[in-house]
Amino acid sequence: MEKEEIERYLEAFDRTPAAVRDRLPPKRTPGGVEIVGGLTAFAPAAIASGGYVLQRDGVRARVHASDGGGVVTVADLARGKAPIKAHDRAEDVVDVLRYDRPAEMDAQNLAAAALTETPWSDNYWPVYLGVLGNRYADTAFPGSDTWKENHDYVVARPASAIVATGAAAALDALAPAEKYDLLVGDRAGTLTAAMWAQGQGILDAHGKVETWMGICHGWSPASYMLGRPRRAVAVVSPDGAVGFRFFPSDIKALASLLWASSAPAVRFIGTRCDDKDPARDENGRTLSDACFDTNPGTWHLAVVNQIGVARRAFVMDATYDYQVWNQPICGYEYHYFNPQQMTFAPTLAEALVPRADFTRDRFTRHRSAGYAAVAGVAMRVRYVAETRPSHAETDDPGRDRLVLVDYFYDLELDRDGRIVGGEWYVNRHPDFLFSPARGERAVSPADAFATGAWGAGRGVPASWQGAAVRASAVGMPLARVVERLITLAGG
Amino acid sequence: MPRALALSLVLAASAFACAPLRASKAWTVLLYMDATASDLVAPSARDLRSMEAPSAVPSWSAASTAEADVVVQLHRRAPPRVRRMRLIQVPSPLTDPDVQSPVVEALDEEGVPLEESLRRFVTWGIDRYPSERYAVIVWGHGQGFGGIAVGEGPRAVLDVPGLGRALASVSRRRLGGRPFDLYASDACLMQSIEVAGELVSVARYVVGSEAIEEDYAGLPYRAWLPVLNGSAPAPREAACPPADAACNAAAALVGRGVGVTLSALDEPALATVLLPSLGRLSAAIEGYLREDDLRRIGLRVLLGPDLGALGGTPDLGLGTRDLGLFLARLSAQVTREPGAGGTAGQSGVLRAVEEVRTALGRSVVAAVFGGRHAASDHEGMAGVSLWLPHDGEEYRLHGAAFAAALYRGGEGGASFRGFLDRVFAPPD
Repeated sequence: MEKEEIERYLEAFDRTPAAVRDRLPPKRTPGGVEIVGGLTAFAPAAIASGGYVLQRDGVRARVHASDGGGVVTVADLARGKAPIKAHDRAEDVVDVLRYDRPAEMDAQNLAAAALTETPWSDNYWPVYLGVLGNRYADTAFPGSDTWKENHDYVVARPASAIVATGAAAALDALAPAEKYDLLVGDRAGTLTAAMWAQGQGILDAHGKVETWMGICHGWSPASYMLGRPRRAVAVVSPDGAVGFRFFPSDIKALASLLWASSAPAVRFIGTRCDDKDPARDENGRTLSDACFDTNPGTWHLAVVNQIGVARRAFVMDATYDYQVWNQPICGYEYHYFNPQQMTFAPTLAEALVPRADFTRDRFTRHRSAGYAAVAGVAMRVRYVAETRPSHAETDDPGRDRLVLVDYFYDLELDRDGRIVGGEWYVNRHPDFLFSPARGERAVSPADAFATGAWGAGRGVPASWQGAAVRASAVGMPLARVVERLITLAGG
Repeated sequence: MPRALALSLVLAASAFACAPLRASKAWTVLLYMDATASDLVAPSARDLRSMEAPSAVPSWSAASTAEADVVVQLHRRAPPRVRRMRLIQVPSPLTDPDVQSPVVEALDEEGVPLEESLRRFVTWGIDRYPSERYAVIVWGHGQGFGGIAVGEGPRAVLDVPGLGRALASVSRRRLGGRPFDLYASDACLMQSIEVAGELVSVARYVVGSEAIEEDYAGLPYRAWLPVLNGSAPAPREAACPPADAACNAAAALVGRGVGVTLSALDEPALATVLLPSLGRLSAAIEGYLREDDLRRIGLRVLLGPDLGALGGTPDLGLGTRDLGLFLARLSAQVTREPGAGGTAGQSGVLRAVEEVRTALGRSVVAAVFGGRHAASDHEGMAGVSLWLPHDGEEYRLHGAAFAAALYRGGEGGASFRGFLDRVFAPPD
């Protein structure tokens, strides 16, 4: 980030804070080019009406954490007569919370960090295209916005007929779920049927399958919890009769589905926010607690400690930014500004404004108890975005789609220089962060029943086949199959 | 003697002196309110003010009347720590900040366990305000079968067996062993099979919420108490015989809830019909699993986290699930199987599910669903929950805590253990 960019924003904010706060933060390529369009799954009508806030909230409500052996979903975090407290503490999401003073962070050269191995990009596998029933490489596949049109195409050209031809190109073009069914010897195509059944269920209940519905909540953790499939893998059906290939995109699809469907507990901070247009004060500051958090102090602690110290990705969601939905973060850099003068500050010392001297504080009545000084921060975040699936035979970080976005906020520090809170200078900020714990696995309940090993060049064992069909019925692939495919693909 | 305490005793004495000699009333409502948790002070004041404040109709009251006494023990951290009050209508606006009814007694219960504190309050209330029928309400934070009245400090939790013992003791000593007409928990997550099972011998009807009371919505005192104290018409509740005042009171309490999830359970029906039917359901599931060991996979998915269309059963909090939703998803899973209903195991489960549904119909005399539970994806909710572990690890960690619950012990063979043991056993 350049000093001039930061000062331009601060100057605009100083002039019309409410309007500037409410702007959609621009997204840029790593080369600095602004990205226009193509970054959202939400329909224009939903964006215009704010309906995307509710759509996002419904998905977020099902995210769950493990809590003393039980399960706490985001939906459970209502204020009520139950001893469950809102999650807004960085330690609830990071692997390690080593530094809580900006001065220490600076001393440890943590003002910028990037992960060596970035999470891999993948598709969000939308329901209207059949989730993993999407024959993305079949050039005749309609790819229509209408679920039924896509479904009708697949029904008219069943996978069994394509397999019967034995044509390599036709087999290559099967959908990821169809290849999985073939791999586990499931002639009924149970996983594929479960994929299309999702859209059928939604169509029956709501009359339409919205284009935003998909499994990005599975892709985002899978993208760094599982290795990158680097090359295509040749496999055979259990009876050895059919040989075919999984491309890296096929394997990523199965990995994303595994993490979406088996949904292991994650660590998260933030709550639900289903207010399309929350009340704001004269500075544009959101007055709803649920829609204000994550507190910027928590955000800063989480980013620096997780990316900079633990060197592991985590996932961010931003309710009011329809371009940001469950994106894995892989890097950041931050700079300071002086919130009293609203100017760039080269050092923390020059950014710090003691409480008594902060006469231009717009957020006095929202401040934390016990803060002694405030420092402004401009952070540029690097995250991974979705891509379209392809039949590329290899995959590497160069094929990932990286996006940059800037967030402005201030940090409240106590007398010892520890972060105790802060205020956002942008409303469309990250407000829900999550990550599986280090070493966590997504495993279907059927995996325990899949015994024995699957050797290279052979069909999957019989016990895997039986277990796979049961898991497929509820839309889950076996973790053992997915992980083995990734290993075979060099991940 | 602390000044506040002395003043309270003076007020208590004057209240006592002024209390008329009364014939027995229809109802005494005994509200045990633990607001020692800092986030409960404001909700406690709001609820008490909702009972004291008048309305535009002069004869209307949500406090004590000639027909009923509304008696409260309020416990807060600020002195006097424990106050006992008979709520009267106070002619000041609903928006006034705190309870204003005179204190009848002020106590310091430092060191008194919650079970004993409740027992003393209910005993005192019956002695002092006798009536034909008694409703006991415990108000505070809820932890399901883990307990209620979760305050702060050393005497934090009244566990459910302790709640049952306190009520049983008073029932034995003051009511000749007759159960209380109505028991209600005004707390989250308390309307469960496990909790209600513990109260079978001490309450005729049990009312509460199986869910988290979003934004402390709680019981609808202001709408319900006028029905009980004769200051507003009391229409007969559809599910209750006209002569069953307790049933009508329980159903009215539930029926007046707006935006909350509440139900009323008929305890004798729970004991004689619902609990045995659950035992038979468990046995039916075991038979179904014996037919095909891999069906355990489907059951594990069913017990797992809610994945919407993909499977699972929603968790209401602390591992509890609505019984009606569980039944709906179980039968859907069985009927989705190829050849559904074609084997003895499949048809056995479907029959047992229907039997539990019938039993629920007899046991749940009223239910309302608010907030997110009113949504279509919660269709089929019964209003009563039961604890079901999400996985083998959770079962191993917490199963023992629930083993004490009556329905797991097996009155008439009513136990869920067999089914859960089978589902979470290692693969053969």
